[in-house]
Amino acid sequence: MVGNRSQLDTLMNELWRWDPWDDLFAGSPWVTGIRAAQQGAYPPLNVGSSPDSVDVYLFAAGLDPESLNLSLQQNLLTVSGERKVEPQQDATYYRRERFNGSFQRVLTLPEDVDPDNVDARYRDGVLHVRVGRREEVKPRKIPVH
Amino acid sequence: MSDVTERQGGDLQPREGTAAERSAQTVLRPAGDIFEHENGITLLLDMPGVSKERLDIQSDRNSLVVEGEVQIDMPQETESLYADVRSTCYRRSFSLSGEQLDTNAVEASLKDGVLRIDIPKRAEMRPRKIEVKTG
Repeated sequence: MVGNRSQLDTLMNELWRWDPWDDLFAGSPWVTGIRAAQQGAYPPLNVGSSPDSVDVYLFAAGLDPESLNLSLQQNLLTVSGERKVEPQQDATYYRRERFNGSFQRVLTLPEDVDPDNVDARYRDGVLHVRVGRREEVKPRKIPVH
Repeated sequence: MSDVTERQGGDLQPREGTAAERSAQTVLRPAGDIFEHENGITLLLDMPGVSKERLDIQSDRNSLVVEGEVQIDMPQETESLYADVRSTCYRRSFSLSGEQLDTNAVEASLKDGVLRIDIPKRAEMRPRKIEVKTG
């Protein structure tokens, strides 16, 4: 009975998080890659690419930045940590949806990132990891004489 | 006792937007914890990326609506490579029972993307300690 209940909850979460955009992006190699995260992985993240950097944004509210572990091995970025949601004593809970526990996300960044040029900052509950691109592979404008 | 809890539980039911609202734009539904304690009801909502300036909370006797907009610094010419979060707008609404809750005294605070909203119970709805006199 308990099992059914949690399955239902999971299904409800999926429905709540369902987004028509997912279908649109379903063919993207990022989504189908071997390290692609299952749906609903915590924390949700976005990755942007610009000529100078690859920017990863992890949407993880209420974290202690000290509890975060970040590592970049070549172009493999691993972010792990733990979020502890302390239950309120003497209270009746009606909803308990916020993530509680430890998490890890691993993602493959483009190959030209520079592991020596990384910085990370945490603001408003978003962890922004900026990884610079290696100079030598940046596109260069070739002058025509 | 369980009757009371159940009824009070009905005070604060998440209310999904209408179909029209949902199709108009994609909104993120912030994950939330909701609990009731002696003095009121507390909501904790995860809204990462929202600053105080971009948060809007409206409450009246019967409802509470929370909206927020995500703003993150992005370098120019950023292209999206991957996105779990496909909207910049959070929204969630709740219906309240104004008879039991003092919706004029709602307090909210935001820290590191976690919004905490405290809705106190009306003074007459709080449990009172009844002294038993012996004699």
